[in-house]
Amino acid sequence: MQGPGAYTPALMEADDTDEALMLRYAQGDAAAFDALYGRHRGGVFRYLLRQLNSNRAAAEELFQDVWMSLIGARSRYRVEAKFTTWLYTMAHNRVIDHYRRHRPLEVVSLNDDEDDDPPELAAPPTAQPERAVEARQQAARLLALVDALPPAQREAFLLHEEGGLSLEEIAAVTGCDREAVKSRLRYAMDKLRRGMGDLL
Amino acid sequence: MSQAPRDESASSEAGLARAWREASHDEPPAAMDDAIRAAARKAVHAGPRPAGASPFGGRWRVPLSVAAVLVVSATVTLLVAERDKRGPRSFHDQAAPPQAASAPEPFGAEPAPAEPELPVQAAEQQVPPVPSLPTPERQREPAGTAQPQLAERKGLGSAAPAESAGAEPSQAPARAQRAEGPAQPAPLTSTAPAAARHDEAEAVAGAPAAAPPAPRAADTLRDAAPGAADEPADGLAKREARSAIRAKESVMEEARPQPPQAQEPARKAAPLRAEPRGLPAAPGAAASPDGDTAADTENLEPKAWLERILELRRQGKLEEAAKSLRAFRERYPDYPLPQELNAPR
Repeated sequence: MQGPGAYTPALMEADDTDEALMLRYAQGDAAAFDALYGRHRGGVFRYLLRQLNSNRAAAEELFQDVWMSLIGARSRYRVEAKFTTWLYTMAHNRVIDHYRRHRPLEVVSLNDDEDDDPPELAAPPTAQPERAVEARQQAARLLALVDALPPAQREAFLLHEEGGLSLEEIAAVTGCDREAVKSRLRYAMDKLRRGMGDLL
Repeated sequence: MSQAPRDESASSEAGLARAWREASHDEPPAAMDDAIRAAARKAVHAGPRPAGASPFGGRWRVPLSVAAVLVVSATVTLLVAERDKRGPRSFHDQAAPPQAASAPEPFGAEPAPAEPELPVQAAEQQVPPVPSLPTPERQREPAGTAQPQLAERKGLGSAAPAESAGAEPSQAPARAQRAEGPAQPAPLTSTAPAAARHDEAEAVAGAPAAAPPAPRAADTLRDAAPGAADEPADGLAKREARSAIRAKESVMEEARPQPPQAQEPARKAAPLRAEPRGLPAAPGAAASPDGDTAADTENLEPKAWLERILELRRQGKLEEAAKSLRAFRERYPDYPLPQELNAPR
């Protein structure tokens, strides 16, 4: 699934890059793992949670599985790609495995480029007087919109926002070409913008 | 696309991203964080060291590998050289004894005293198969080299080979014939000159009568038995018959000229053994006037047969020699005769 590409580890010159931390951890530096984990624990967890339709228990299970796999593979780690690409590839594979076990038919739909309309959600309340309430409503609406996205578009959006991956890296994680990823991401953004309306 | 819509799209994407960061705050539980961090530390401290951290995995890997290869190569080279030094000797040491042990007994070689008592099956295991019929040259070579030793042994009165006995055990006058046996000429297949053979025969003839020159193993046992000289002729014949049966089952019986009636079963029982046809005639057998000896002569190889005919002529038995020569010509009409036989006698 992962395409290593021709990634040049220029970031290795800095000691605090993800790749440098992973190499230090592979050499026995446990503190490097703590730093690495602190950076990516939230993004990986949210990616899993949204991909699993907010199934928290399943997300926690897969989250632990991803990090344990990373720990077990530390001695084989080579800087052939960006660390986040490798990390989210493992997460993506766990999601695929999860859907194969529990909902096999959704594996097919995970790669579908569905271009359906955004879900008909309730209109944003425009007359909320309080800012906090407005923010909560905005967040809830956005989460609902993301959950309603087609899986492929949702995954592209999540990898872009939570993992900070570029189009090429998303393509590498998902096994698609760059143009397909770009299209998915554009559709996802358009739907979310339309769904959010004037809340943005 | 104009600059304004692009900026608007970019600003909306930025607003969407900001809204997403504000909306999504889900975190893994703290207990899971602790469990994963603990697992990571445990793997580092208790797990196998990574390849890069190994003391032999870094800069020492290549030098140590080269050194190990050199040591192994030098050891193998020394071993091979040492083995080559002693290679031929050890080869002969290993190869020669089995060959000598398993090779068929030369015609004049000293037989083992206990060998005639071995069963036929065991004796067959000791005798290797003969791939083809022995040529006269092959047969002559061991016979010629072994026969002087036989003569020496006879002269010293030591244990003599059994094949020098020409008489059959079942025949009553066997002893007397054996006593006369050493006076007969040496085997006809020997390559030594006739005069030398006569000398050997004379040396054998000089042996004391108390020590028969060629007692067969069975006869040796019989002679060693107390009271054997006083045994009645009937009992003696029975004993000799039993000895003949045992002797037929032995290997030495195979290496000895046999009468025609005993030869055929022996050939059937051991087809791979050396054919007795090419064996040199035992001393005394040529002088025997009975028909069995003539049959033995006809069983000889052509060259040995001719030698025997010449020997008969030398002994003055011209009639017998002529008879044998006629039989020879009937058997081998195209075989070239030596000049001595072509000359009229």
